[in-house]
Parts: sequence; C-alpha cells; structure tokens
Amino acid sequence: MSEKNDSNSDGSRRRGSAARAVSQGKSPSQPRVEHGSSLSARVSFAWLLPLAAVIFAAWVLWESYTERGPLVKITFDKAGGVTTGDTRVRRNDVDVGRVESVQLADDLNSVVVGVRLDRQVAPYLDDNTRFWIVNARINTTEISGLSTLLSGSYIEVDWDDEPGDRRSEFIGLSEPPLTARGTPGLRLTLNADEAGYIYVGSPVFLRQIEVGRVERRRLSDDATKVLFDIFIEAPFHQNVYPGTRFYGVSGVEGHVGADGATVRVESIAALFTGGIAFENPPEITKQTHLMSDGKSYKLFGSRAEARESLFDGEDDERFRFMAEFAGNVKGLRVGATVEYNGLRIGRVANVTLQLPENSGEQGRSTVAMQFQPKRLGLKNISEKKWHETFNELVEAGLRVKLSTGNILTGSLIVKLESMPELEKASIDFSTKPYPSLPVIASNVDAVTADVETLIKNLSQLPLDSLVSAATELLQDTRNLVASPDFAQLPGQISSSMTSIAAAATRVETATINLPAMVNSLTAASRNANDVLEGLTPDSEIYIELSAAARELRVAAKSIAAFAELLEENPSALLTGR
Amino acid sequence: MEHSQPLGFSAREAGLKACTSCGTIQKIATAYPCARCGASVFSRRRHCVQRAWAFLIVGILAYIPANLQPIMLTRSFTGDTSDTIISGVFVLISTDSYFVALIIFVASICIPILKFVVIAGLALSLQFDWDMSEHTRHRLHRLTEFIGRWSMIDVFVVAVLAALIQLGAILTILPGIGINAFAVSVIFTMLAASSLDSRLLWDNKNEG
Repeated sequence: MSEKNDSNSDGSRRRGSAARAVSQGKSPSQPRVEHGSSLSARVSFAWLLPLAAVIFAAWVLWESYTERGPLVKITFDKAGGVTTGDTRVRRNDVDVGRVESVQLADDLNSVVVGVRLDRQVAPYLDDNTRFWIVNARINTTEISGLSTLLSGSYIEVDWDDEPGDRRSEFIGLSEPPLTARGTPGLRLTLNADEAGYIYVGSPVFLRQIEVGRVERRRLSDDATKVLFDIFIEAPFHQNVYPGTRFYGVSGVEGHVGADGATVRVESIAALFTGGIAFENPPEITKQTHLMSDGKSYKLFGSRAEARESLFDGEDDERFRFMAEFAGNVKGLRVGATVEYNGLRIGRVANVTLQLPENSGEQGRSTVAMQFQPKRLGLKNISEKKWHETFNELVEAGLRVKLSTGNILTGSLIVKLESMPELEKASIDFSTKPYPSLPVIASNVDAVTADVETLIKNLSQLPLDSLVSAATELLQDTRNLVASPDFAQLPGQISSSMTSIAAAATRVETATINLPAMVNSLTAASRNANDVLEGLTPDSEIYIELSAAARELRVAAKSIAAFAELLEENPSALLTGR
Repeated sequence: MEHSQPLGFSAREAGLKACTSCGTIQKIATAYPCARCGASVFSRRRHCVQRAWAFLIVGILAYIPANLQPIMLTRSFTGDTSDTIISGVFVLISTDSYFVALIIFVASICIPILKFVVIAGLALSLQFDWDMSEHTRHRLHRLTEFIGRWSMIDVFVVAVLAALIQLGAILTILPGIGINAFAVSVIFTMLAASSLDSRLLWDNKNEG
C-alpha cells in the first residue's frame, strides 16, 4: 500500500510494469531494474501519436506559411462588390488569389483592397500588371460579365509574360482593358482633330473585317488633338505599313456625286459606336512591316478624305509654287485642290492677302501651292529638275487660274490649264518665299454673279402654289381612279377605240402645235435646273437643310451622351440614373 | 446503496486477475495469455493514463483545425461558400432552424469540449489521486463512453449531405478539411476514454 501511495503520481505505470513482469513469470523484484533500464517500461508508445500530430501540424503551418504568396494592395475608386474573403482574383478564369481586406484609403476617397496572391504568380507582379474589377457591363460595345450577376464580382489580373521588378502596390483600373497584355498585335496611336463618334471599344476595321479595338481616347497634352490608342490583333497587324491610312467610320457614309448617290456602312456595330478603318493605298511600298508599337498616325475624317490626302505629309517645300491673284478669292481655303487636267496634283498650302501699295489698286492674294510630284509620275525628283520640268510646262502655255470647285458650297479650287495660244511666259523665280507661276484671270466673279441672279430668280418662283397645284392634281387623279365610272372603263374602251380613231385625225392636226410645246418644256426644265443650282449657302433651302442637319447633330450628340452614361454606369439602364 | 456500503476488495488485492474477454479468473502471477481463451490478461493495463493523455492531446490538437477549417463546401451556380462548424450553426439560426442548430451546437461544440474536460479530469484524478468518490469517477467514465458516439453526428451529417447533394453545377456539397480533423478528434477522444482502464478508477479510494 505504502509503495503505491508514495508513487501515486505514476502509479499506473508502475503497476502496469509490475503486472507485466509478474505475468511474464519473472520475479517481483525485477521490475525495478526494468524501470531504470527500459524507456518503454516508463513511457507509453502512445506518446508518439501527439508527437506526430504536433509535427504534422507544424509541417502544415510551415508549408502554408512558405507557400503563402505575396500580399499586394490595390487602390480602386470603388469597391464594386468586392468583399473580404469571398472575392477571388482571377486570371483567365483561374483563381490566383483572394481578397483579404477591403478598406478605405487614408484620404477616404478611394478603396484599398488587400489581396493575397498565389506564390507562383509573384514574379509577374511588376509595372505591367493590371488589376480591375469585373462586374456585369452593358453598353453599346459590349455585354460582358453577366456571370458576376449571380456569383458576385471578382478581380481580374493581367500581366505580361516577363517577370520584372516586384511591386506590392497597384492602382486598379476603373475599366477593364480591352486586350490582355500578352495578346500578340500592334499598338498604335492615332491623332485626329475631333473625337467624332469614336469611343473606347470602338472597332478597327480592315476591309470591313474587325481586326482591333480602340483602347483609349484622350486629349493630347496641349489639347489640340484627340489621341486614340488602338490595338490591332495579330496577324492583321502585318497589314500596317508606314504609309497606311486610318480614317474614321461613323456608321453611315453618304456620298452624292455626279455618278449618283452611294451609302456605305462599315458595320452595323459601327452604326452605334463609330469605328476606325484603315487601308493601304496601292502606291505604298510594302517592304517594311511595322513591327513595333507606338507609331503615330493621322486619323482622317472619312474614307474619301483619306484617299484624297494619300500624299499628305509630303510637305516638301521644295515643291511649292505660289501664284498671285487679283480680286476676290472668297471660297479658296487651305487644303483646296490644285488640279491639272482634272486630276489632283497638289493642294493649297497657304492663302495670304497683300494690301495694295497704292490707293485705288486692288489687294492681291498670294496662294502658296504644295505640289506632289508623285502625282505627276515624278519620283525622287530633285528641286532643280522639278523647276525645269515645270518651267517647260509654263513656257508651253501652262497657267494658273481659280475655278469654282463646287457650285453648292461656292468653294474654289486652283486649276492649271494649258493655253498654248497665250503669249509666252515663264516662272518668276525671284519671288519669295516660292517661285511664282503666271496666272490668268478667271471668270469666278462672273460665275458668282450668275449664281446670285439665279438665286434671285429662284426665290421669286411661285414654289408654294406649284406644290399645292400638284397636290390638287394628285388628289383629283386619286378620286378619279376610285370612282365607279373608272371601274366601268374597260367596257367603254372598245367603244372608245372608234372615237380614238377619230381623235387620231385630230391629233394630226394638233401636231402642228408640238414645236411650241417642246419649247415650253425646255423652258420648264431650265427652271428646274435653276432650282438645283440655286442651292448656294445663301438659299432658303440650303439654310433649312443645314438647320435640319444641325438638329440631327444635336440629336446624335444626346444619343452619344446617353451611350456614354451607360458606359460609365451600366446600371443606369435599370435604375434610371 | 453502493455509497453507504464499503466495497469489498478488488481482484488485484486478492492476487487475482480476470480475463476481460472470457471472464476467467486467474492468479496475477500466471502468464498473460488467458488459459481459456488465449487473450492477453492484465491486472491493470500498462501506461493506460499516459495513453489516455496522449490520445486526448491528439484529439484536442485535431479539434483546433476542426473548428477553424471549413467542414463543408457548398458549390452552387451563385458561387462557392464554405462553412465551419460555428458558422454553420449561425447559418441555421439565421434560417430559424433553432432545433437543428442546437443539436449541431451541442454535438459538435459542447460534447467534445465536455469530453476533453472529463477525460482530462479523470486522468488527473488518477494521476494525483484526487479525493473523488469512485462512483463519481465511474459515472464520469460511463458518461464519456456514452456521449462519445454522439460527437460523430456532424461527421454523418456532412457525409450524408455530400453523398446526396451532387447536382452538378446547380448545387454540390463537398466535405471540407475540417470534418476530417473533426473525425480524427472524435476518434482519438474515444480512444482516450476507452484506454483509461476502468478498473483503475476503483483502486485509489480503496487504497486511500
């Protein structure tokens, strides 16, 4: 008893070993020896289990600690449904991390989201890494992220393939980028005078096939240009050369010309969003592919403009001439065509006015013209040779004159005309800054005067009564057709035939009057011509038309504003704000 | 009647031991395979308090991840959710299933903790010879063995749900890591309870 009492603390152990010793048939004194010598006699093997458990737990902790990826802080404008613990970070729909914290930034104006990312993505967290929140988006160019309506938003991450300097703080994008970093293709910048109807996300077309997108729309630093960052996907980017022309396509492009009216629609989507198209003029050299990002191009307003200015950019002052005109040059603008034999070979670079030196004289306008030798089939021509060539032409009778380019708008163009019958002249190389070509007076003023009288006549035309009379006539015809008498007409036709025969003889006699009728018809058609030609900026119809166009533009602008609102805040469609 | 009457003496005091398998009584000094059935016969199992401690510690260690890690993953088209034991209880309460919440709470939180405390108390009382009535010890020991099975209710709930609810993309329930740890914890507390040799519980008082 006493032995057990003083060894109560490890009673069971001693008792157990004693029992074993006894059961093995050994003497009762032996257990004490076993006590000291054998570890197994004092300590149960069961202790290995908690030891193993502790080791396992320690291993799991160590593993999860070392496997733990980097913690990055991303600043967003709005949290947009991001919640602690639940929101995942994804790359190509694969989870690569999760949100650990969502807090307001120190300035209380933005949200800082703490994200624990997987360890394997750590090397890619460099300057080229972008984060953005994926929500459901519904706007004119896309409907995306609908799955997030049910599952909640997530954060998408995008990086390029190359590891770089680690960063742990990022600014999240407020809009998802349109193309992932790794996408092969070409990034270019286009500059235009006005944004037009081109938005972020607007498509880029090549031969009406969508090959890219507008990624960013911004003002240049000095706010004189609108810059579009566009992305052209591989392999279409191989079609971009240094001479490629980009032009805006704003839905419908209409053209009314001598060959009739044409309407061109680049794509149905572009009807709503606008877009950019590009094409390669056949003349450009296609040897040099454009393989590096960042080149800047001019964005032309329309296809026609792009085609016309194929040789723009060749502002080579060596190929400039100037011409002095007396009198009114109203309607001659910078950029106006310089035409030779009906072909555009250059443009007006500058128009300046020189005040008369003596009173009583007329002021003179100096027009600087930029020629494009390539248009004349002259490639790599030197300035000297160019001057010689032109001098020959002038000596052969080439003269500069102003001509009406468009009777509707009253714009003027510069025409070069060969008039061998005139007395010989030559280029005046003494004038500054450019040599002067000889001019001949044009009949522009006369034309203008004609047009003005035409307008006057036109305004006196009794248009209203004409229209109402025509309406009445139409009404009468309709009544006639609807009348029961008309239904009986077929029956009467046969009886009429006889009277027609009789009438025929009378027609013969009437034919004598025909020439007079023809005359009056001619007069009528002349009047109609006058009506058309009268569409000058001052005419009533023109004013009304332009007012209508202005209203259309206002309407289009408000639609654009609406689209922009939707783009910024897609839920406005639902909530109404 | 047991409380008032002093007990007789134990087999060990009489120099005997009983086979726990067939009940044969034999002398303590005999070799330990039972003469009748061949089972090992001990008067008191060796190291049994140590064993109980060891198992109990494993059980407690396993209980920590069992509560921290999710026991059930619910994957539905609205996204994934994972529940730990206690968050599951709160979900049940928030859906007004108070009874089920109570059962889960009692079976998964109260009972395991109670078992840890009771087994630890028994082991301590044996080790330090606390002044505790052998009847109290006995009842406590019976209690741990009785309630031990109920702890598995959570494991069964998850097992049944995970087996039944497999509706593909619509709703799928998967067992989480926590439930494995919980099962391990329950198993080891049961082992701890059973490894305490109940005959030991009667020894001290008599001797004291």
